[in-house]
Amino acid sequence: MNLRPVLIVDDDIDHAVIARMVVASVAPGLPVETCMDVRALPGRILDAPTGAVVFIDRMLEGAESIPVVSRAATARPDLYVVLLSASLTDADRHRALESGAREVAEKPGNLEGWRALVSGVLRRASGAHGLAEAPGRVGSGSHSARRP
Amino acid sequence: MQVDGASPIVAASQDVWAILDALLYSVSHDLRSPLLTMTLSADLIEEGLPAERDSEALAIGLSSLRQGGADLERMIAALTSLSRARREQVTPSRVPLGLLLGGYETAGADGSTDTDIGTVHVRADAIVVRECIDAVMTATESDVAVTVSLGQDGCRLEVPLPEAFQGEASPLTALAGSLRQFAGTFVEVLAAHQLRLERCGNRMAISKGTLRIDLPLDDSQ
Repeated sequence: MNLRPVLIVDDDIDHAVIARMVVASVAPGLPVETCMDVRALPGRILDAPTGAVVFIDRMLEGAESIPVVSRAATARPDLYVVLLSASLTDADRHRALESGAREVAEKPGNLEGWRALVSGVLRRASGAHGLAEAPGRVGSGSHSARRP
Repeated sequence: MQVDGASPIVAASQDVWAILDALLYSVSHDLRSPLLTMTLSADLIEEGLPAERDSEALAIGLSSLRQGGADLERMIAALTSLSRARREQVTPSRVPLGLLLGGYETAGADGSTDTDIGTVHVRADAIVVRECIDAVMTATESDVAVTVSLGQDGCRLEVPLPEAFQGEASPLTALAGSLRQFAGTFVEVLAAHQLRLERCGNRMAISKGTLRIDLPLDDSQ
């Protein structure tokens, strides 16, 4: 299974650190970056490693991240964006998927749930399309994945 | 389960409701974030200190942390339920009472007959009303009869509540008065239904172990 690198975007430092620990525990050695500075968005996402899995919180310093997700889906279709939130309605899920997120999930309340969420996402992302090089970018581990 | 305090909900201006709605939404969402931190931290502590797991103080501390987290989660879930009930789309319309009560066993109070019920139209969101009645029947674990009373201005539906549910109150008032006592209980379920009904111009109350839903008549064409 060819796992993608991970970028975690969350303004809550505790959640970002815990998410990073979980990724490290389910996929040791996998490159993981974190972004807790909302002001660095969306540039940080647009500069993400080729084909990265991006876990992004739905609310960043009081503002919705869905516009960022939408822009990333357009500019970087190679990214596998997963929107996370402490609380989600069906309407939230629909809007997130419509904006280009590949998956939408509520943040689990225990470590076991987090591990299942992260390992499931990494597994599905590794088999998903979109791992081709980003427009104008040359990645160190470039892939020529077929697109639907 | 005793539900006391029958004070009616005070009417508020639209501006106040807008602020309350925003507060309800932000509280139900924003409080869950630190709660997740607490519960995840408890897991991390437990996994990180295997050598001292037999410590009684540690076991008690972790148990208390988890219990506190579970209580907080229960109350936040109740606020989330109310927030969603305030924001869900409801579409009250002119509905034939017979159609509204279709499939339920009905009993006419005060001499009302099936024929009378069949000629009456009420103003309600049929789905909202039926979901409320269905919730009571699910809690009662039986298909109880819906008692129908027709008056000059409206129609009253009465459904017996589960035996353990006594008292007289508005479920929403009870829940607002003691989130800790009623969050996660059937009172919370009824409170959310009450919010939806009242957004449709209907009323809900509890009296002597019976749920009452008042629907205004709609004689318009």
